[in-house]
Amino acid sequence: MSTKRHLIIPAIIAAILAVIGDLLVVFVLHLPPGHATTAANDDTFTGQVFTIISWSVGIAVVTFAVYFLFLSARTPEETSFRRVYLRRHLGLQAAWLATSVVLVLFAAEVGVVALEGQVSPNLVVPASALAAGATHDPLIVQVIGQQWQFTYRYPQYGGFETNQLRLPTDRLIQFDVTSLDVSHSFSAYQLAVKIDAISGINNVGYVYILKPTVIDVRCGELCGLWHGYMTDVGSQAGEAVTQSQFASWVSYAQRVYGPQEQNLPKFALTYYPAPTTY
Amino acid sequence: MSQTAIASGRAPVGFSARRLFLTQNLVTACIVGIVAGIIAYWVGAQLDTTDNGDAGILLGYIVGAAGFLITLGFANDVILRLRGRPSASLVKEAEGKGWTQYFGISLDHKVVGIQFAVGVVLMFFLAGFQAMMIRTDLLYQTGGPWPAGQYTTLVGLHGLMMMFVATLVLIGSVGNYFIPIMIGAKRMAFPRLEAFAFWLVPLGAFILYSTIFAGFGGGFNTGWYLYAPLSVEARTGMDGAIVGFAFIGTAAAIAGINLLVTIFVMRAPGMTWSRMPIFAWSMVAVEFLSALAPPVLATALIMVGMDRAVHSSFFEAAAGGTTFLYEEMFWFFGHPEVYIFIIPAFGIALEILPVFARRPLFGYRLSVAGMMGVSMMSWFVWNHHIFTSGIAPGLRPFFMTATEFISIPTGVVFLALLGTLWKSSLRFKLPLLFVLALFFNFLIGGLTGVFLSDVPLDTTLHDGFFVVGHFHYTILGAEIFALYAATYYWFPKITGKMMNERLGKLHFWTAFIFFNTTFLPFFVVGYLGMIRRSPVYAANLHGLNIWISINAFLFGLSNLIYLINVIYSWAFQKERAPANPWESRSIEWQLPTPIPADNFDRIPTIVGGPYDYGDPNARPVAEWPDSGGSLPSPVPAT
Repeated sequence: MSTKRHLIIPAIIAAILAVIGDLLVVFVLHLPPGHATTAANDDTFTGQVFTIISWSVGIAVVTFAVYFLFLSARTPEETSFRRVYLRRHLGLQAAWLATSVVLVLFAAEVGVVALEGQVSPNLVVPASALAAGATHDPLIVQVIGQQWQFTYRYPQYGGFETNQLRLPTDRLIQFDVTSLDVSHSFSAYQLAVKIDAISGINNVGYVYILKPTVIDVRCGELCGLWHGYMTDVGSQAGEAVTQSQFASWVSYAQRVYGPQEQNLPKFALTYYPAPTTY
Repeated sequence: MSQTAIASGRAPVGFSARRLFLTQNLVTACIVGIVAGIIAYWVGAQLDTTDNGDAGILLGYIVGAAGFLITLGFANDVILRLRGRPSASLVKEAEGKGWTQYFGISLDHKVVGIQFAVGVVLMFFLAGFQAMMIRTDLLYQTGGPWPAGQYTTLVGLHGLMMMFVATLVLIGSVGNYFIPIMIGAKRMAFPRLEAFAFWLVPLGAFILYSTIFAGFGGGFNTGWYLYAPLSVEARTGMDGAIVGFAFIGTAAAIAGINLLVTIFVMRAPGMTWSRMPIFAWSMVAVEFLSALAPPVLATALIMVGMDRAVHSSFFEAAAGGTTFLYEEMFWFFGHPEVYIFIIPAFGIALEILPVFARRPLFGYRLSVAGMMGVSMMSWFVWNHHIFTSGIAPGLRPFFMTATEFISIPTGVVFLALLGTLWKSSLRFKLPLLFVLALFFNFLIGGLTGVFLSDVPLDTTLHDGFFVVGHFHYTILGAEIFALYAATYYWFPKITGKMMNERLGKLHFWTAFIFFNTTFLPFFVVGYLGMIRRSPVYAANLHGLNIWISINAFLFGLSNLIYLINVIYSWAFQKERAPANPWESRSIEWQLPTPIPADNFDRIPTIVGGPYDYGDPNARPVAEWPDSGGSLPSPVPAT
């Protein structure tokens, strides 16, 4: 009788705490990075799922452990060994393993579903972006990491280069990310995009923006002396705007940055700078 | 007190200048090492006409280190054998060697264990001081008192040094000291290699710290994982970082092979696999990693060194190399490495828990299977560190799923915790408190790890403070708390004195509370987009960072309480501890304190399991043969 009771009581406490916490996660806690893009939607959703799983598992373990601590304070040391003999328990161990396998498979499935469409080596557009209305004619934006700034080229508009990131909403965007020197990481927080910029490599990522937003761009990979200052924060640096605003910005940018185009190397997927002299 | 010593013909203790400067000891080794290093640097600089002196510096470090080790006496036995002389005996009594044995080559695994413990804990406090400096800098939102370059060097020093500490703190100290005793052996399988592994550690730490001086390059700016091509292009301080790191990797590999062989071949009669203490099992699980992973790291570091010194361009894209080669090699080492940190902590926690619960360890076999499972699966998850680097997209689901699956064998230790706590009669002594705190911290550390395994979520959290919080919860919150627990538990066995209870309680509560108040906000700032290794951060995170810094300082002070407690209890406490204060069944507590040089006069026969607490009919763990019938040692003493 008492054995069952001492398992049911903590189970009920754990279930109540888990449900309270999970409801808070769903309805009160607004997890970043928000809902500006389809990728951000995926991140926010998987974040919620993982927070719910973690909170439920964590609070269950803590509740049982704390309950057993209180229970053991009332258990005399001389208790007959046979009565509390619990060196192994096949059913319990099997149930524990089965539960963790189910949880892990569920977590993995959540991740795999979010990756759908991205898993092919042929750079398939993410399924969530297509579902939101993306078509297969992406706006190509080349992100070039260099010590210590990101610059952006728009090859479909003459290949001008700028250090302002302007992106249109409701259009599939293809980032071609590369680096001129060491490894950087192009991380645009609100877009839920983080793509390493590696010299000699063209890393491709897609994003489909749902609503206008400010874009904070930071370098995620340690890239030397001024790594910490390789940030572009605020609307001056990065912004997602509506399609018409984007079109007018492009014509402005072509006027301002276009004349410098002949000084730039021809557009390419990667650039090999001259070897550094020591 | 009798102690084992090397038969290098060293004279007994007693000060004389002639002995200090003309025999093989730490002083002469340092002098020869420095002189050899300077000469080698000069030669290398003459040979190297292309560059800014990397070849000279690398050569200087390596030759200097070799000079140090040879002068200390590591070549003596080799030279004896080359000259056709009989090799020195491993178990030679040398009466009254006293404290000097701690500053030389000792073939006594207990002395090496103390050397490791003291050396590595000192390194822990050194690197912890860097953590305090980092937190001071982060009090300011746009760069604190240190210039950007020095801040990155601080981060790199803290990271690399803590990596050294975490790799060796449990394996080197608790492993070396107690594994031979726990399995009923008189010594380690390879005592000279054991001493060699230790002496690489201060050497590696010294070389790493030498990089902060301007003449050696004035720091390095790559953090602890030294990503190429940044590490190829970095200033000459990088040379010291790669040499130091390679030495520590070598030390870990050597210590790993040594412990593995010891456990496999030197167990006492009757010490079957199912009677082995769980800590010894954790050592088996971890030493496969420790022996096999660091060589990959050493190879990668040698390639970086060659890229720097002779322009071999393994990693330079402009010359046909690729940084992916470095990233893959580094994390192929790097992920097993983090399980090198945590598996011994599991072992210590599950070793200590039944003693204070007065109940058998629940699910002993499942726990062993869990640790072995973690050990094996950790070879198949390394790409989750480079999800955003542009690896083939088809690899990502596999590594995501594999990473999540590793939480199944890991979770088994929590079942062992719950099952052992069930209707136990706990004795709330200090070691138990730290073990319970360890489980709480590791629960958070483990669950946040599952967040990072998920590719979409990792896109947001990667390279941010969420990751930093995660691994501080697992390494600091679990491994270092295991170090605390091990200290409070085994201190009476090592020194014959109890740790001070009141200071210990103060240490426990401050450490547990301030650890959590420091590192829980890491998850928040990380989720809000704070990037690692950056002295500047968004304005809205300023308040949280001030909170973190203040709590980090308090956590640092709490560690000083630990240090004070160890020193006070060891040096100033008068009263002797009882022979077996925790009423443990384990063999090491059945021996006299201090433990004799060769551990056992007679090798015991193991007749019972180690965790039969609460069973009035349990057999004792070991039976010692009568003085007449001494059993043979499992390996012939040469």
